[in-house]
Amino acid sequence: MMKRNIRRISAFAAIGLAASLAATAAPAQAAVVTIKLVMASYTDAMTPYYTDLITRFEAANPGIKVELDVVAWPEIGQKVKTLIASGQSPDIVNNDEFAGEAADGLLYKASEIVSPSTLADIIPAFMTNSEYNGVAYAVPDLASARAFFYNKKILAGAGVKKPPATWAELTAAAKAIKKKYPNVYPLGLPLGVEEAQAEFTVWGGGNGARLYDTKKKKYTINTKAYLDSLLFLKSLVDQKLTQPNPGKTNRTDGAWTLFAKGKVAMVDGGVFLPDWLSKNGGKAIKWGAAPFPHAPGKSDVTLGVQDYFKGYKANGRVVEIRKFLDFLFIADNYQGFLKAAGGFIPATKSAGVKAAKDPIIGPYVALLPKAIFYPGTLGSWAACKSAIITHMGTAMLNPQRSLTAIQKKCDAANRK
Amino acid sequence: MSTQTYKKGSSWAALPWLGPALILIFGFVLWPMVELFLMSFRKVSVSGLIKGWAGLDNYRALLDNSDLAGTLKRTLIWLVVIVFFTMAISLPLAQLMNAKFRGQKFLRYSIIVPWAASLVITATSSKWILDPYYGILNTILIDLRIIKEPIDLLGDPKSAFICLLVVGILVSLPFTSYVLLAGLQSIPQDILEAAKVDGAGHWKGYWAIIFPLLRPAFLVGAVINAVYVFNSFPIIWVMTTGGPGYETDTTTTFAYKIAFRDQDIGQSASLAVGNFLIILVFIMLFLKLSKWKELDQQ
Amino acid sequence: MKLDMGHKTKRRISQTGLSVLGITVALLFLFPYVSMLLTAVKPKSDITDIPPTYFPKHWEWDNFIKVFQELPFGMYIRSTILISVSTMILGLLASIPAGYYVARNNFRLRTPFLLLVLVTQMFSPTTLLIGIYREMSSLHLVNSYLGLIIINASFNLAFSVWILSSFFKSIPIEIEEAAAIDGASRFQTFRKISLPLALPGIVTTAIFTFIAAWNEYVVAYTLASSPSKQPFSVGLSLLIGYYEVKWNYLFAGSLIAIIPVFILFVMIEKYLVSGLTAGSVK
Repeated sequence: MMKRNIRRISAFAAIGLAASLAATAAPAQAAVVTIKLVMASYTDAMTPYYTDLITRFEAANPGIKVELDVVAWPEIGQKVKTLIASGQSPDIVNNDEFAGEAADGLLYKASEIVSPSTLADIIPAFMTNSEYNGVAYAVPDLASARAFFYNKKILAGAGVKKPPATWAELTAAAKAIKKKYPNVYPLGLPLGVEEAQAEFTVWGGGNGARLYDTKKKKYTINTKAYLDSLLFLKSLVDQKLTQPNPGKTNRTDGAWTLFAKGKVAMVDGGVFLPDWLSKNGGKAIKWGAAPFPHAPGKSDVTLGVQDYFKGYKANGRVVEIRKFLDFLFIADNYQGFLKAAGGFIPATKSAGVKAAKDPIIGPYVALLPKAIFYPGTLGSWAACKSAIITHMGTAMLNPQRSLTAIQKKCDAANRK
Repeated sequence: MSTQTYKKGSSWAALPWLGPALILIFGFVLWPMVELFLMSFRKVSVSGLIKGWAGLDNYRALLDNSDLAGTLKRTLIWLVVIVFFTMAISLPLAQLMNAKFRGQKFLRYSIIVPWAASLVITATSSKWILDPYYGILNTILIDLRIIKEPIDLLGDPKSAFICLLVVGILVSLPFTSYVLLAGLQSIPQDILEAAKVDGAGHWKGYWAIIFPLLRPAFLVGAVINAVYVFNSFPIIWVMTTGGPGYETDTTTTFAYKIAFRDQDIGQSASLAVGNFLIILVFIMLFLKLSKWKELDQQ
Repeated sequence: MKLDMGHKTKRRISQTGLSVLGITVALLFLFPYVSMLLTAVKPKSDITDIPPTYFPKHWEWDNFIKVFQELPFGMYIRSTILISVSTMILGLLASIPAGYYVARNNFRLRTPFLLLVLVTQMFSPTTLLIGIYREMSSLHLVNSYLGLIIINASFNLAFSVWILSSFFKSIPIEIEEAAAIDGASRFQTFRKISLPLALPGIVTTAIFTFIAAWNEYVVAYTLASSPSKQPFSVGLSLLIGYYEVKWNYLFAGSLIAIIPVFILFVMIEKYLVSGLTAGSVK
């Protein structure tokens, strides 16, 4: 019995080994040029979108084959790094950082990877955010701006007449909500690894804090302005006015999910949140969007985030990269991209005209002048961002300690 | 068996037999070690390119890392607590598995499940059970009136680490208890009978007669478990990614985070060299404790 | 936990007591997996109920089939089988001759060799990740099945050699000597006599290696960057946390992945014990 099994197993095994050798040997036969894509997964709709796009692209360009990898946000930075370090550089990447790679000379210039007409269509302000040492190394794919979302029904039910505009009003509103609806967390505070840097930037920003001082060329993280904003958030956490675990809550599987269920009354959302809600069981929620509450005597800000397409030099596929990106930026294809990504602000003028008229996206386009952006043009930003993300996990326990640690890491990255 | 004689032969004659194993060991275990040492002295850019030699800079950066001390402390606790409880529980567990009763097979097979399931699966399921909103543990605790409102055990550094320890123990138990079971079964029946009949009582008989016979299995189980626990990555990574912050990191997850999140491969390599040295200590310990040459000659 | 086996009068009571105890302990071990099962058969709408229900409102057993459409589990499992089976073969090819030779022969470098094996047993890929990663880069084996297979086989080798050599040693040498007198060559003796006799050991080793590769996570997590190359452990972990997770399908898929390994374990339970005995006790 045993013996027969062994024989069966080993026959099976032999097939397995042969197959695996065959599988690894296969790519050698190419006369076709393959380009590798590593793309951020804004939503679950990205993979179907790219799959369709690639099928059509390959049909139109018989000499080019496209290998697709759609990666979740928290993994994508690491994945790209892994691929580069292993000599398997991707050809096109879509994520939220470019300057470090530009500094290392890994990237084609923006003018090399899209045609002049595509480039001319990109909104100039976004192009400026894509420059390293005065040269654009990335093509913006889309942008977002944030707003403070609230559940109209809960706020009204708790007797909160208008969305809180200041920190004091926020605390008061939260207390009122807690009292009236003990099962609702008044504020959703996602300081988990998914996008803690956004919360940090936008709450600090409402207290006048900025991440980087361009004159002194220094990160300005360990400052009183940031400390006060964290202490304010901590006071909310300590009074149980937020969900219980800010340091590990993400947006999509935490704060927003709770918001969609009416378990969180107020949350940092963005232009993309309405689309997300409709896809994730939050259709019934009556939401409103307001400016972020700010500190006394300061003015409200929003956070502007833009992401990028980048072309990598390592494989010398500039022609194919350009063909693909130009194909993606064809109006209909780009609309499809925006749709799959889920309600962002377009990066092109042509799509922007349409978006400005959109009842949901339009107000955000108007909001952009108030936006603070990350110092994404710095080579050190990626490392600094990572430090913020990790240390926000414990910032509600000991804000000062987190700030000290972040400052130290950002300074170290800045010196490199 | 101890009287067995070996055929004498030259080391060259051994080569065809040992060759494939040596290729794998030298090529894919020792080479990465060398690479690792080299990387720890190199300057690596944020996107992973080597930019020259760094001297001791990476080591200095590591020692200067404010989260190193806490991580080292936790690694020690992680190791000691899991190995201790695993061994302390496996001993009675192996006895139970060896006892005759209805349901013994069920018990043995149940214990196999955490072993058969990958750590990722067990960790995923534990994370789900502990979830403050959707997890069943909170519901159970609330229904038993132990807590009043849901708590997030993985959200607080202390309770998160305790949860990780519990899962660490759960997944360690199958291996060690099976090793001890094997040890128990190798004890001749008459010795077991003798221990039972011994009028001096159960416990005394157990410790005086049976435990000494189990000692080799116990020791080997403990050391293999210790190495396994030290290297254990998926439990922590899947359940907390070492968070919140760095508060549940051990040296292995910390090294990973430094490399791939903080984007400092050089510093991470220097920590890995540290891990490497810790494991060397284990090996020395193992060699000393197990008197492995005697084991081998038996 | 007191195991009363001594007094005949108490025997029956203690039998029942043992059964109760044994089954309780068993259920404790099973808890996480039963909990997975109960989630796996929940309909999607039940999954994110706050608070969750203990049992599904409807038992949707076809989630176990739907998982292959909802999540790329078919692809993950295919990769996993390919990697594990190949690792097992490569591991056996290297460990059987080595295990046999050190069991039967004394040579000057025997002790250093055994020490080397022991040392490699202590190292897991986790510690050496960056080194492995660099090496695989220079060999262009990142993101390939072959890279994962070689690394898995190498790091599981020590355990295999160790166990196999104990098994070969436990075969009385007289049997081989008798064969040698009959004119059989060294290799013939090995193939015709020792190999079949050591079969339980070989099966144990093979299955151990298979399982280790099946469940391996860290190396694949670091090296396999495209979904088509990822084993299910990595695929699984990457599906969690950032979207609305289809937990029911996730767990249905996970349970499917546990089953073959569990069956293998049960198949060798007897040998498992004797294999471990050989490896660690004698």
